[in-house]
Amino acid sequence: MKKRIALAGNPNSGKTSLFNDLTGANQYVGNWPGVTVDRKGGALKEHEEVEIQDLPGTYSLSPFSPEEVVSRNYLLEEKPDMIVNVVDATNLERNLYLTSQLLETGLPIVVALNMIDLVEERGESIDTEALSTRLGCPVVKVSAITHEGMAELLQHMLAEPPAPGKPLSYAPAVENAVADITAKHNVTRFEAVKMLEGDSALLSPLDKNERHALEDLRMAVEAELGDDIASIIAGGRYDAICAFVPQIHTRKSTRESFTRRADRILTHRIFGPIIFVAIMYAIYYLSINTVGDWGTGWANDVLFGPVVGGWLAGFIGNEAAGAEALTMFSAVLAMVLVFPTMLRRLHDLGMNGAWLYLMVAPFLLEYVCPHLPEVVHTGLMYLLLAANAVLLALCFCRPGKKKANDYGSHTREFALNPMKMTGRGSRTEFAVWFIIMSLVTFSIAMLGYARLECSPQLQSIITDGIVAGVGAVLGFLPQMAVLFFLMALLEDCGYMARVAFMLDRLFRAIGLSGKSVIPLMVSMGCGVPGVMATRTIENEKDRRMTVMLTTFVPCGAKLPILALIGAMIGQTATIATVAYFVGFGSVILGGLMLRKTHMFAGSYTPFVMELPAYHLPHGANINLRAMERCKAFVKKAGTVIFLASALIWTLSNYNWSFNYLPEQEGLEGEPINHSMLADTGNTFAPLFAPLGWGDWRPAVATVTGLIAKENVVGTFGVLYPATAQATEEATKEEAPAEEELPRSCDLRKVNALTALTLAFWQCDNNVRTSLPSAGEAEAEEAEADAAAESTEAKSWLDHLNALVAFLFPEVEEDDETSGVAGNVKATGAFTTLSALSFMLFNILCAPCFAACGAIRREMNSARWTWFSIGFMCLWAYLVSYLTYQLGLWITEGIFGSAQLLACVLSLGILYLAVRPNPHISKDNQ
Amino acid sequence: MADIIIILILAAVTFLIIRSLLKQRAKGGCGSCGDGSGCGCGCSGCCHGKKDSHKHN
Repeated sequence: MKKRIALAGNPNSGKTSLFNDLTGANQYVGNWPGVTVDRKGGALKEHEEVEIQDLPGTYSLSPFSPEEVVSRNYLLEEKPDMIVNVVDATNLERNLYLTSQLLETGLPIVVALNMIDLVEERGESIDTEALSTRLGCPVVKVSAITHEGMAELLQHMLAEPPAPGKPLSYAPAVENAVADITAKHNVTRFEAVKMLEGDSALLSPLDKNERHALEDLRMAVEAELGDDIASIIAGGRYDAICAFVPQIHTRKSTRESFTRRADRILTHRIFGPIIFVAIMYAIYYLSINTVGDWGTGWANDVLFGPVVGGWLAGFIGNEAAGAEALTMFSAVLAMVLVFPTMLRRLHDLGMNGAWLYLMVAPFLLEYVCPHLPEVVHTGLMYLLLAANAVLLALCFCRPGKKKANDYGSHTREFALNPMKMTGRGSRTEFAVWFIIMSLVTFSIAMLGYARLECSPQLQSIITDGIVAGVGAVLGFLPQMAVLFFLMALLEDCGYMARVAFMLDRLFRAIGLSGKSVIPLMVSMGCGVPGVMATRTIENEKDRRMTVMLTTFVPCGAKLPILALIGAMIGQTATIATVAYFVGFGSVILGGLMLRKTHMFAGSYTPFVMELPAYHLPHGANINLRAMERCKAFVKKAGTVIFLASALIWTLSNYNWSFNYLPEQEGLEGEPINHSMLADTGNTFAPLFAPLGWGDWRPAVATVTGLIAKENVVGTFGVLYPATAQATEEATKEEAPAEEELPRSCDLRKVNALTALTLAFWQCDNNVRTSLPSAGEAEAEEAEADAAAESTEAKSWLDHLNALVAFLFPEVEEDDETSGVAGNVKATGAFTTLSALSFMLFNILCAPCFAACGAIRREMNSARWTWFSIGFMCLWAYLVSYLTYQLGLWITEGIFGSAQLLACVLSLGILYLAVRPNPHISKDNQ
Repeated sequence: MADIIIILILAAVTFLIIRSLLKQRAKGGCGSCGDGSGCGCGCSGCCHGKKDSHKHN
């Protein structure tokens, strides 16, 4: 039989971090209370016979909130073999309140004093032996972050359960009453205390006389102690705790803590929101305009352009695949297939810093190299190559070292190697995988010479459909990765909890539930868990309203839409930040309007939230979260977007008679306008004409966005192929690089260098040597020979520079918008206003199907689900309409009936938002 | 012949994708831990949706 251990503790005490460490799971860890709303099970790592239950965080075991009910029911009804009570050591008194209740249950308890590292950092200490003696149960100092004490905790978990602890004592009157109830009803001390408190769940099975007897007993105690029973019991517990905590906890009386000082500024009524806006702008600027944009530009212009396109043209077409393109293709493939294996191996060797080197070195060289003489630059490139070769040699030669009881390693490994290709690595395992993956990489790259000469339709569905669609979405991965990383950083250091606190203040001011804040914060990642997080809201009206509003906040999947429109307009970071706050503004305005309707009227629920201390972000946590989300993004692009792109291509290239349109003659205008998709889109596109984008393409993209919001961009990728003009511009940019060998060793070159090194040079060499013997036509052969000769005349470094220069053309300062954004812009389908209107509609309208499903589950009613979706769509339509029509009036001075209607609607919304609440007085009474 | 090869490859990929999506859906949860169906955002937040049947091993 399995041994069952429950992790119980206050919210944000680190239970889920501990759970992940112990089980190797990758549950969402948020640095704010209320992240876990239901219990989760998992087997202890390497001890399948031990089952661990992560209970939601609770301050007590009273059945008030859903989290408390879940925890209490599990502990009282399923009676686990042991409870590991996770106690936040930085808030000992408050956390021990729950401990005092757990001790009363009579279940064996081990107290894990988590965050002990923070206590020690403050120069304080906790006498665990004295605490253990007082509580009558083992007490272990642990840190889920640094993994300190995990081995000792594990020993206790694997050993026989300890004897039940010693409950704290109450006033004699209470003790007598509890003893009386225990003897009379044969219940545990915890149940007796709760029955004395009048706990309805425990009183309901009793008959009327028994309930009256308990009522009399309670009144007698209250009369004797002169207070209500709840205060007597709670006060008794706190008195007992406060009596012994000063003896075991040596505090250091210091000046105001850093957290308190920082909070004075960061949660200031005026400066707080300003700083928040500035931080969000900086995050979007970094992720979309700078760091992420470099990667996205490269992915759009190179990877899914000449590299993948070149390989495909050689594989399924009849074009001579370019050697440079194939080399880069194999290098990228090696990065995906071989690189993770190497990282995993380096991690096993204890060289955790090595991956950092591989990531950071290119950035350092990016800024350092341009200022150095050429000889130093060349030397550094050699050095980087040599370092990579040494790392590779170490991977092959050094035996791996396994750390005993390193229970954090799984999480880190997962973060480091999302591909999970190898088991825990031995030299042999690494070597086998490395060689297999290298061969796979090489073989796939070599397919670029296959020249299968498929039919044009097949070629088109792959290149113009799947690659265009998936590539358009995947192109945004670098921006998404940076955004996810920065958001995880903010959350992990404790800042997002302050944002929740500031929003709560705002929400209370306008009469919304403070508990709505957490779902909104979670929705910034994804709407589905955001909708599910509304379960913590007890008030049904508040909960429904929050479900309806929470998906207004732009989730990660909407970022590609923001980046696309931002790139089209040319103010990416500003557009993204505006969109973000339009989302929050919609929540507030929508909440204000709904609260005053009969359906949602009522008083708001108070919200208690604890602000965690600021701490340095934990690399593994951030890595884990950012990698997980990136992995999910790639997975979605490779599955849902893949299928959707193929479908959209089919529907946009065939008419209802299933004739392939590009081969049809005598068609008026573009063939795509005669497709099934165009016909379908044209039926509902006029609906969006008042919003400024009445063409069928954006209308179809909006509908396909319901499958997954990333699909909007994927659909654009298929429906707006590169025009001749855009292609011409791209060709112009690519052409000159061969002759001019740029001196500076910039980021793009070093990245390529690293990638090439990882590919062992093997593909590169093979590609080059195989090129002349590929059996080209005479003229091509002559050209290839000439190229090969000129290649041999140069040193390999020059050769590499030429290759890199080809792959990463120097970007002019006034570089035009690239990728799908450039294609859409080139068609002139959108003006700035209509693009903004399109973006706002897609951010605010009904969420993806997965989120709609979550809404259906949480609402538990088809009527409410449709009402929610209808409300979102209507609101999105209104906001887009107002943006476009009022924008036309302001920017172009156009004023007609549409603008007049927009003014009336604006006034209507304003009235609904600010009118007095007709229901509030009645409810208050 | 080449067309048949490519069509077979595409069909196989499509089959694998649909199978994996259906598998995810059948299991319930969010998909990020291999145990779920929903959004696939990677945060595991919606794993809470499944109560007793949900295990992380």
